[in-house]
Amino acid sequence: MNKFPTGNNHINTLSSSGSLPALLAECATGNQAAFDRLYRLTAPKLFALAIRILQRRDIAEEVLQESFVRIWHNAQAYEEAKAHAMTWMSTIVRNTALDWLRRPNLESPVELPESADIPDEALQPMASLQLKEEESALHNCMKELAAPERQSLALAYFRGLSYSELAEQLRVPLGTVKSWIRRSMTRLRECLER
Amino acid sequence: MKYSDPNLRNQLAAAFALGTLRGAARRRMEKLLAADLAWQRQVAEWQDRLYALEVEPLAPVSPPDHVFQATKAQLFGQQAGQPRQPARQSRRLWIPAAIAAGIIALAFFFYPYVGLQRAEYVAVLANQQTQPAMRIAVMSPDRMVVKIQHVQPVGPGQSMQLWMISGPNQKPESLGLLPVEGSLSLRIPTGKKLQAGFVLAVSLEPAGGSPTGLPTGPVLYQGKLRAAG
Repeated sequence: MNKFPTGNNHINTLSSSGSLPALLAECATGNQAAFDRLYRLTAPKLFALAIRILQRRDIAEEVLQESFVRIWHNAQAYEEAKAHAMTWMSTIVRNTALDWLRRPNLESPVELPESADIPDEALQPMASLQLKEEESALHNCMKELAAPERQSLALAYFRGLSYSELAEQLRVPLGTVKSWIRRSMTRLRECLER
Repeated sequence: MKYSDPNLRNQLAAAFALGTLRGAARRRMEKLLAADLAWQRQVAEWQDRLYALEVEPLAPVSPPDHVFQATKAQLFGQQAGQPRQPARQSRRLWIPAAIAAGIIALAFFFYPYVGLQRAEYVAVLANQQTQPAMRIAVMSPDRMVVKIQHVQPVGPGQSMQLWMISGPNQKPESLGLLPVEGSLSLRIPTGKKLQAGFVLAVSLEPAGGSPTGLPTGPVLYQGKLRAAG
């Protein structure tokens, strides 16, 4: 059983009400109004994910656009029985964003432009992440991991780093990274199943 | 390798979901997954767990409205011309877009040439009096950035449509609809390969774009693509 209201509950609420999977099913039939609603409901979360990965709002906007184009075109491949809608869409956003990061021509991340229309949380995704995480039971449970173990998982997720890239970045042997990731993943499962 | 060991299956599912499983091993697993529903479910469960840990705590950030408008234009730009009430639809679509674009234009004023630094080709499109109206940068074979600088007002029942002309006596090919202000990232339609020397032109069309697939209205702006310096 899942004890964490901040964890899967969000996903479950959206899918058990039928709305996100139903909207995806409507999108698969070409219903543009369903697409509008799907976008309104999910874009803020998915945009936050794109910003978190890319650290740049301008590119995150492009990635969000590209992701929703992919979501529309792949909506017929979505199966409610196989994946939560929000997880499925976030995987598309994550893959699209990581593709961008891996493009050879992309300049290294720079500061986001200062502008009145950018909310604070967008400028400091790390800060807001930490702020919210502190309240979460899942975060508390994950605290039992050593910081580098937890960090290796976040780097793999948000930077798309391989084991060898992680080892290089964290300056530890390959075997160490592998066991860190394994321990983090095991812990994650335990925390959510408790 | 044996794939029946539950421990190994679980670890591979986790590595697959996280993305640390790479190369040949990942491709092999993709093939096996296609016929293995239980294993697919394991991967999905790991994806849910990672979502709960890494994405769920992120504070939502509302994307600016021009992203929504650009996504809609990219997906439905062609069909949007066919509904019965083009003027109404266009007004609904473009007025909020114009307001959002105005805010974005302001941001770009302070942060110029966001994408233009790593462009492959660029073009400045001007009116007949050679006053610049917009800049277009081709960023990659499938993406370009349009930055509107100064264009004449477009009526509620009208859209600006971008075309490429690959050489003398060649038919214009549509590249999509344009906003009236601000900046827009556009996907270059598959099969259209933009090159230096091509002419880009903007025509005034009914809302939603030309119903015929060729320009039907006056050409407002044009310019030639050149290799970025």
